[in-house]
This record gives sequence, C-alpha cells and structure tokens, in this order.
Amino acid sequence: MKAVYALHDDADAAQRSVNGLKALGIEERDIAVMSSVPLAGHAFFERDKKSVVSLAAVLAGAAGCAGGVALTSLTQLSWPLNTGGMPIVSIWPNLIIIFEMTMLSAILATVVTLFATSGLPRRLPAIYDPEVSNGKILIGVADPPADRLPDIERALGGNGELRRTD
Amino acid sequence: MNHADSDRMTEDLLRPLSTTSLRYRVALVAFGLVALSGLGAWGYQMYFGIGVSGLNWPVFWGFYLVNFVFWIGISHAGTLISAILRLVNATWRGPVTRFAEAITSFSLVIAALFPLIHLGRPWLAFWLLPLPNDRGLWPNFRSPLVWDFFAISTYFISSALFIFLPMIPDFALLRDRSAGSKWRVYGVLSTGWRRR
Repeated sequence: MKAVYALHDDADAAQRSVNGLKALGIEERDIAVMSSVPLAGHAFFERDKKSVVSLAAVLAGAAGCAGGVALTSLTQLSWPLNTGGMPIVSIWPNLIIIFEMTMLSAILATVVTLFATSGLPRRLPAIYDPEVSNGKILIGVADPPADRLPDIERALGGNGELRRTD
Repeated sequence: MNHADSDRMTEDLLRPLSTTSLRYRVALVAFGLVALSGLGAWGYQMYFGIGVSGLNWPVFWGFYLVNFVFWIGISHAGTLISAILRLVNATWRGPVTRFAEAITSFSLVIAALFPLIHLGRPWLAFWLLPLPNDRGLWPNFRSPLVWDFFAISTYFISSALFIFLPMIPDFALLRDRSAGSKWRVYGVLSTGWRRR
C-alpha cells in the first residue's frame, strides 16, 4: 500500500499536520492518526469519540437478563423438583444466575463491539511505522492522489519527519 | 526521557521474555515438582475418598471451601485496586493496575480449582453445564455449587478480558521486536494492532 506519513515528537506538531492536511481538502476519515499513548485534549485525537459500545452493552445485558430468566424458570418448570411446598420458580435463588448472565452478556458485547469498531483483528496492513512504539505520533495519508502529493508532503514534512511507503 | 533512554528501558523490560537463566529453570523444575505432588495428592483423595481431607460429621465446612473463599478474596482485592485506580484516573496507575489485574486472574484460576477438587466425583463436573441432554435433566439452579459455577465462569471471563485488552499494545510492541514463530504468536495476540 502506498502511503505518505510523518512522525511527530509531540501532539502540537501532529495537530498542525492534521490542520494542514484538512486545509488541502483531505477528508478526516482519510487521515491516519497513530499514537502509542492516548492524547486527550487534542482535536485530532477526539474524532472517534462517539461509540456504540455502551449501547451494545446495555442491549446485550438486557438480552442476557432475559436469557437468564428463561434458562432458570423454563428448566425448573421442565423438571419440577420437590420444594416442600415452596414455589417451583422463585426469584431469589434464580437472581444469582440471572445477574451473572446479565453481566456476562454485557461484558462480551462490550469486547466484541470494541473489536468491531476498532477494526480488529486486522489482516490487511495499515499505515504503520515501528517508531510509533517509541513514542512518535504518526499522521499520514494512504494512497494519496498523485497530483496533490507534493502539497501533502509539504504539509506533513514541515512538522515532522517525512516518510513514504510503496 | 530521550529516545535512547526509552529504548534502553524497553530492552531491559523485554529481556526476561527472550532469555532464561539457570536459576529460572531450577525454580521452574522445583515448583513443577510441587505442583505434581499436588496432583498426586488429589489422585490419592479421588481413590480413597473425600474423607482424607478431614471432611466429616460435624466438620462440614472443609479445608477446600475455606481455601476457595480465601483465593476469591485475593482475586477481589486485585479487582478493587484496579477499579479504584481507574475510577480516580490516577496518572501513576499503569504498572500497578497490570499487577492488580494479574493478581485477579491468577488467584481466580487457583480459586476455581477448589470446587473441582472438593467434588466427590470430579469427572462428573460437566453436569454443571446447562446443556440439553437425552435425560431431560438440568442443573439445579437453587444449588450454591451451580451459583459457584456461573459466578466463577463470569468472573474469570471478565477478568481474563480485563487483563488481555490493555495488553494488546504491549503484544504489538513484542511483535515489532520479534521474528519467526514468536512474531506469529505475538501478531495473533496483538490482533493486528497498529497503535491507532
């Protein structure tokens, strides 16, 4: 994959590169941003703030709760045990199972949604440089249009160490 | 901290993953023998019966349940430390939360062994799974043993995920510094993480 990117030492330099690319008309979704640490408080890092993870967790929790109720009550009615006159289906002992099923569903849905929204696991290569592991911030564009390549390189190179991949 | 110091620190931290000393191997063999003796003791108990552990009238709360509760307590402590540090957003929490999550997961694995060890017929432990079967039988959801199964399973899955997810960037770091089969293993564990 052809890409052009720059490695920056600090978030302010990365923000300037992002601003330069946006000024050239590059769409935000086409600008690759990579950092080894969270950079809260910088606009370029906040773009993916909206997430459906919480909604997925709530919905899955509700489904897990319903599943727990169904599992306990239907199985107890399917093979009723002698309970000495007490109810066959009772909320209090079943509440533990229902709670665990609710939590398990919410947790698994959170993790699955997290992976799905992050695009993981990923087999196809994305823009990457091992220097990101050493604290550099990568800002780049994959498959840049050839006619705008010099402008993109100028916007990136002025703030960080410019690199290209073929 | 400049890049040279950062690189040196990273190399120092990762060195134990790539080299093992003679002391490590001796300790591994010694503790492995201890674990094997534990397995032998469990086999002795399965053959001669649960009474060898002292479980008898009127001592119903045996050694194993006490141990189980103890290790669950240790596991909860790890969860508590990790949760509180995240809630208060302590900036220095990084290494501490990793320790806490490791404590949670590993002590929970130990705790989960005890309900199996104290079963009179551990080879029938699969009866705790709520799977449809030809006999039409289901677990007794009023039983504390079944509650244990569901609670420990949920706690273990969530603890394992809780320790694995923050390690994904570290697996990516190890992947970038590995080659051959190690690169493949760390590549799978890092799920293609590219430090977004």
